[in-house]
Amino acid sequence: MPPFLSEPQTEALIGLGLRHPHIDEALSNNPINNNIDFIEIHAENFFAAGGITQALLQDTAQRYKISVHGTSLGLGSALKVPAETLEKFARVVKNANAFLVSEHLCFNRVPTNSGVFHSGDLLPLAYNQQALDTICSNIHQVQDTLKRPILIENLSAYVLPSQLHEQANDSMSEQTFLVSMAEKSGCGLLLDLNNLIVNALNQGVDDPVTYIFKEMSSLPTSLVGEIHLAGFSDTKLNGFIVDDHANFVSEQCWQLYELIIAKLGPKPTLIEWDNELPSWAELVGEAGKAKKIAGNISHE
Amino acid sequence: MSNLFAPHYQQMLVANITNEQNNLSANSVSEASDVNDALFIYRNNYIETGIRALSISFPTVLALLGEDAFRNIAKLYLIKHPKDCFDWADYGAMFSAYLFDIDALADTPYIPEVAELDWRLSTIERQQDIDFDADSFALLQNYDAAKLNFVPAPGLQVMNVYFPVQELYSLVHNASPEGNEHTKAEGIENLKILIHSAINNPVLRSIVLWREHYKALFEYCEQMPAKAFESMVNESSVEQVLASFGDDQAAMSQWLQQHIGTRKIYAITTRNRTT
Repeated sequence: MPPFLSEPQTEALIGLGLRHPHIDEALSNNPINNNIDFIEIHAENFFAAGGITQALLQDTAQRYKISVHGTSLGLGSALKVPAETLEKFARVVKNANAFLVSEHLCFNRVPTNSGVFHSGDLLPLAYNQQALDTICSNIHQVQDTLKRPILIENLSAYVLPSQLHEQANDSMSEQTFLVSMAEKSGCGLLLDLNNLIVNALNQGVDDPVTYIFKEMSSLPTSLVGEIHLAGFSDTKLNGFIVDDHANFVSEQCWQLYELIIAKLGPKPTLIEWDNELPSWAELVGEAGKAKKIAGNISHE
Repeated sequence: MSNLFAPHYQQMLVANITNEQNNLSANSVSEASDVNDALFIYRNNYIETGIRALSISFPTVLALLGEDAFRNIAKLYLIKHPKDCFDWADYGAMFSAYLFDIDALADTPYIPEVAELDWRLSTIERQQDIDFDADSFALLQNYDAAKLNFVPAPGLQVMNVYFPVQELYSLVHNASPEGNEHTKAEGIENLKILIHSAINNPVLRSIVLWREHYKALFEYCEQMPAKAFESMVNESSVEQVLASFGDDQAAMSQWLQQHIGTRKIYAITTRNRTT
């Protein structure tokens, strides 16, 4: 059993992200909800000490398995996560009785003259030894607090660190960095297929599905604890495809999913949709599509 | 050597995100225009996420200013006061003070007070839950009031204002779309008179804010009750809180009964020896 899962996976659990406009429908007795195996929540939305969000967390946890996804810890930052923030994060994990806990391969905080700036965004790291040491140290801090391993999600990025600073070169591939990080810290990986596709398309890769599968298929199966699927807007911003989670899961993402789970086996899989939200029924439909693909695959 | 440089890269990326000018800072090694195009994505994300967060925390200000003006002001605030907290819901504590210094808002001088009200309401709704304990009020009958404390409702506090913020808040949040046009016009006219009066003859008034179930509420209150609430928030003893009413036993009794009934007071506890 992978150490970052609370129970063995014999089939792909399919989940949806819980967003405010969908709360009533997600918690209703509508039979379509029986197709949802788990709900992902963003930890920060439940950081409040009390109030309605805590009641909502309780209601959701009674109804669904919950995956707690952090978006603000910025574990690649040179600064440690403050104990107070970690306590809030740990409280959400505990109250949700989370079966998965995840964060991102990114930094978000730097010291300033007046304190600390927190970007509120997921900013890319250089794939080098220094970044590896930093993020592993911070992952240890989180895992020691939670007393459980977490998953770290690969990132979509629009700038390469070496474009900004000549000494911030990559000294290893993304795949090598991910595996080294997992082996060194004991964390698992959350493989976001849409992020990989967005990066490949922005780098001008002609056939992102083949390219990514070749890059990622050698990931040790046991390290991958979850998969994210998503889509992106057709409109580019300044020439870039933006990872805005504002569309149906892209055809390329479905193709890659099929290849990856055939290789890695069933993994908890989440449909992400954060902007231009569709109806709840449409989201459930996307989950059904993932379930069908996963059900048809017999992995190697 | 690389150990020294990655943080420099991180500093550089962040400096470019918060940079008002759309120009790449020094030391970049790639073509400035290519990198600037990429940095725009991050800059845009910081600003747009920040505006969205501020619009959630300051809904009344948003409605009174209109979306365009709010966006412009929020954008300037995000640059002047870069985010320093993990949760966007905690960002905006200085927004009211920032609005106070904006010349363009000279014609709407009530906006900073409305912003302060919005901020306090949003923070009250996130306060720790407390259980209402009806049985605890029996302590008032058989215990020395000097050795008792009130337990206020979550987030209970007093705010002092010059402008008719309750009426402005109602204009935004309680307006009925089917409302009588004449009544609406009358209400707005009345509001103008109140604002004019606040400018020409400023009188400080108190508002008590608290949370009932999950909803933050507020109402104007008179001087003596406001003093009692402030005393309660400062963890004074029951005896000291009630002393706010002087010899007016009737007012004190009425205040106590009313605010246990409206759940501004949640319980009575015995005081710690150290307090």
